[in-house]
Amino acid sequence: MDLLFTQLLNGLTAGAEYALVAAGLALLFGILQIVNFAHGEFYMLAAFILYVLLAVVGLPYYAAAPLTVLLMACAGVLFYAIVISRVISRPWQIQLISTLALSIVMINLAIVLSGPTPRYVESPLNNVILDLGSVRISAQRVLVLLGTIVSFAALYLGLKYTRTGKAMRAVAQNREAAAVVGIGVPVIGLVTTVVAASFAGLAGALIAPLYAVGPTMAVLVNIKAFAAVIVGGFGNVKGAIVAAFVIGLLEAASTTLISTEYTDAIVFGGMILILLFRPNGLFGKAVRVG
Amino acid sequence: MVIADDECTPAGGASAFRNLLEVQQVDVILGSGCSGATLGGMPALLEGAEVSAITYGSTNPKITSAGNPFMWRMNLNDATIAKSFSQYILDDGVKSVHILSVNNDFGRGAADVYQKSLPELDVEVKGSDFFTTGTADLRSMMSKIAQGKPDAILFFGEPPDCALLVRQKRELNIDVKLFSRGGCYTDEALHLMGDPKLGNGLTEAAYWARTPEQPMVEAFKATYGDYPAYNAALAYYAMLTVNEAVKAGGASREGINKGLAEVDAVLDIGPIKFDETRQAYPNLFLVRIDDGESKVLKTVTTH
Amino acid sequence: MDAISSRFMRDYGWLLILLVAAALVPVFSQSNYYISIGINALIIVCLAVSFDLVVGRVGALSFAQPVFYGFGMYVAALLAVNLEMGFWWQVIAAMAGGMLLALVVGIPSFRLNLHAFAIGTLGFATIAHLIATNWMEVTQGPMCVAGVPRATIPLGFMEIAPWKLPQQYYFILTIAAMVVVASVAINRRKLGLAFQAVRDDPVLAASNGFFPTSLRLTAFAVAAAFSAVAGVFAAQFQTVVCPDSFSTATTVTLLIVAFIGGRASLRGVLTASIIFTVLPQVLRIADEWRMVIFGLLLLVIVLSAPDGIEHLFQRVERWRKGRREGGKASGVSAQPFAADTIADITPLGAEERIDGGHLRISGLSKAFAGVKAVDDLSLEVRPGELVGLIGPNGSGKSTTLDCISGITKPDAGRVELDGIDITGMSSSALAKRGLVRTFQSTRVYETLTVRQNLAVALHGRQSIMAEWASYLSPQSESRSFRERADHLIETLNLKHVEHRKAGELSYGQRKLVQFAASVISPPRVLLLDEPLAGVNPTIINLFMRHIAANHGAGLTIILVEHNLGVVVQLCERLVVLEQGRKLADGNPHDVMGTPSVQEAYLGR
Repeated sequence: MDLLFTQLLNGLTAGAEYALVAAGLALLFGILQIVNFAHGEFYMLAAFILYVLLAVVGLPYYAAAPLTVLLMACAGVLFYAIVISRVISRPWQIQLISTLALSIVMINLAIVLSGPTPRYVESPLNNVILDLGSVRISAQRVLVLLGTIVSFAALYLGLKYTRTGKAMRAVAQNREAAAVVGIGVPVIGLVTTVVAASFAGLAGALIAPLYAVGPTMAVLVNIKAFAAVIVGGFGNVKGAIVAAFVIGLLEAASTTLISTEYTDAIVFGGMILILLFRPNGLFGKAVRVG
Repeated sequence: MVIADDECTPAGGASAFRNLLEVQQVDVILGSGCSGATLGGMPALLEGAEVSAITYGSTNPKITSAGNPFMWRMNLNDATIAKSFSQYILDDGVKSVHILSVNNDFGRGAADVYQKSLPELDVEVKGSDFFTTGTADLRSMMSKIAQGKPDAILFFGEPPDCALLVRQKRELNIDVKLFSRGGCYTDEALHLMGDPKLGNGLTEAAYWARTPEQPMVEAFKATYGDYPAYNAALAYYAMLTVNEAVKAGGASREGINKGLAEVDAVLDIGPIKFDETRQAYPNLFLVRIDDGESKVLKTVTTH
Repeated sequence: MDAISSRFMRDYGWLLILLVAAALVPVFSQSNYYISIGINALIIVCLAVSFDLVVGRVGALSFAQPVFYGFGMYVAALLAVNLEMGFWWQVIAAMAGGMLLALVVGIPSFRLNLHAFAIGTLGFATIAHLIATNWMEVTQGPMCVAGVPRATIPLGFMEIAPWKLPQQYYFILTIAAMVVVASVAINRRKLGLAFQAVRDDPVLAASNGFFPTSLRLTAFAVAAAFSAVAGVFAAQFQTVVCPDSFSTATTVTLLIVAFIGGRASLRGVLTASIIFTVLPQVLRIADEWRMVIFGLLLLVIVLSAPDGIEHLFQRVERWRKGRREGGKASGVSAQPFAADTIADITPLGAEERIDGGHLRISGLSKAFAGVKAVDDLSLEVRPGELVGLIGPNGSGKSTTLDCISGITKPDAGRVELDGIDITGMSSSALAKRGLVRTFQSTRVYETLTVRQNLAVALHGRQSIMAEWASYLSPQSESRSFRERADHLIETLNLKHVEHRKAGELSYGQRKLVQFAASVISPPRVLLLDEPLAGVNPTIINLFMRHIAANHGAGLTIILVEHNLGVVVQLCERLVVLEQGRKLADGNPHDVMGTPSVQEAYLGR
């Protein structure tokens, strides 16, 4: 029984991390129809910003973490100005290659500037271990879980009830029609990019202390986040989040019951199976063809 | 000195080797540190340049078994290390282990060797699991391993992976001994543990460690402000070996190759003498983390 | 003779020049380093050409291409190392195995839409990499298969032993040239047109009788065979095969090469292959900054020339042409058309009877999200009859046509053609049986010329045997096709645009092209979905005369149309739909006089 609870918790906390990274990816995909291959590198950038704020500037974690999110929002503005605004109405191939190029630049710039060896970032919650009887968990992980829930609630309410949120959804459904009724698509593009980058910032600020900060830290988690975005319904934010937790739990289950080596194969095999039966993902709307 | 990027892939190794041989016209290659890139680069050595390559970090047994007359290895091979390390594990009172390794040639090769060498000493291997390097969350794997209640975990992986192992082992409160290969004792790993004391009690069998007998260590720190990493240190000793070879055979490409076969020197890391497969047998370092610091328990002569 | 050779030079000349240039590389540089870069570039050429076959020509983004490459590498390595099999066995096993693997992966994946297909292949690639890493007994995992021997190639009359790099280079150059020529050949055969049709509009292609999935599978399998062969050569060249030999890096290179090169542009893809294998090597001078600069250059290229290398080629060509013609006015202005000058329009250019089909629909129902679009509709159309199907917007006319023509599956009911139950048959199969439709949304193959649109439509409508048997024949027009096409083009006033791409035509012209394609091979039943919507009176006149002529020849026609004047004038029978149900059925004047019909139309 202990193992069951432990693995359940392991799966949930891993899922929360995937969800945080997946959120920004799903937003850009769902609202602007852009697959951002550099999203994982934004997460990496956020982690480096956190490292600099903590280790070089010397801020306490509770100040550095929110500041990281803020700085990533600014990075989002830059990202929009330099790349997204130029490719937003281009074919998807161009979007793919340009974000891929950005990802190559960011990873290798990180290698040049900081070296390939990773760095440790300290959070005061890292060394606080909560003992819940049969299971144990570090307080930082609880913070990740809470941060995921709170930020997603905020995102959900924001998309549903604010004017900007409604405009974002309108752009997602039909960009031309939204433009016709007077919604400024460039403004919505900017807002979406900034929110997506801020989520990457949040992911970096919360998750990085659990592991280490390095140029290639995002590669593996980003693949899982990508799978979550697809399975969740090609940019359906709610779906992506649910799928991220499903992937986390599936991994824990497969590690325990089947094989550690083929865990990723089981995740991706599951993804293909889901697509075979629900080609638009778990939460995607069926499109009427013809 | 010229640097070439091998991308850690066979194709990358091949073009890096050829670039060094033909464009940069070097007389000897130190590397590669990646087995895949070394294996990919080795055919280039046979294309007439007569240049020798000395690897100091690739563990793949195929590198020396291929019979390439220009390929030399400074670092100990797994079989040699396992002989000493398995005995040490037994002597430490361990009856059963679970092997957890990184899923690359280093981890696979090492796991393979210990799965044979430990049972020969009546140490039970309860299981063997592999993870992709860079996997952030090892907790589900460790929870599963803990269920089997082994006396020890035998870990093969890079320093960052090891730091995560140590931190998450504490988080899950798994009480087993840790033995390792791959860099758990390094400054990098200790730094990434956050609190280096978390690693207390871990024992690693290392190619190289800082010992007072090596004046290079302090000299390096005085010049670059930091202690050398193990591959930097081994590269230094590889260079000294080349120097010995030049003395024996002359400063030409052929001379170095001939000279390497004749090297019989005692460096600060032990004797360097290549056998017929062009494998050298320097000392093995057994290192333990004690009170948050790596201390060399003993150096073991291997040949 | 001169004309032929100059045409050959125009079509293949640049390829020949490229080949000669490539063949001279080892002559100018004895350095193994440069030769090995050349070999890497040639391998990428093979992979990029096959990648472009799937992504560029049939329009399905596939992340699986490097897997087939890796598969070829492992097959060659394992056969050579474990079983000591010779060169030809390696090639045969890699090609056959690669194609088989492509079918196993492709058959389920192509059931998905193209988005999901891309992701499915990405998942497949991940799983394949894991298998290569973890199936220790066979692949030796990350320990790699090392010591792959460079094979001797028995040619019957002699043996080639390419053990040295320059020989390897020529060896791989031969293969790359063969792959490129195969790709050019496919493109210049009827198969190339069919691929392009499926990419441009799969729904239209299906309604022309093609099975889009089979064509995509064909491209996928051929590409897999090309990649697997490239893998065999790469394994012998590198002599070591590891899981990372076909990692994400290969995928990234292929994506860059295919998209920077330009969709379905061989010259673009070839140029990009060379640039993006040489560039990372040139950048070695930048040491640690190498990949940063590579990424930045890529970003600058894609942002400043987003249409790719092919676009640059076209600009150069236009510029050169402009200089040659010295500012002569180009472009074709629409010619005035005197409809009256064409006295009698016959449907096929000859006095010919069409054996019209007999359509019987009973109890047909279809609902979307609970809303009944068609509700228990029964309708019989006799051979040679011309029935007008009318009704207000949303009354279920198009859905009825969709159900009959196999675009959507009805929830209930039965459709019979000449007494045979055709309910639920695919639109491809129905087209082959002579049941043809046009679309309200006007579908044409936008990147094909008007004549090619007609040729493709004719090709698809043949029996499956004839369709597949003639895929490898050249695109030259048969005499019977030329007669039909000339007649239709002439009488539909498309002569002046017959060599223009359909995507460049006006709305009305596209409607005409669509119509011409539907009757290029005489159908038995023709379903016309609002052919007259939004076109000018001249074209309406043309359509009326053509419809009447086809009707006169005996074709069974259902005409869905809002222009009541035309319908009443043309049709001998009218069926009125309202909310998916039949409101009236009979002689036009009686039907139009029915109070309920007037109410439905005029809302009284």
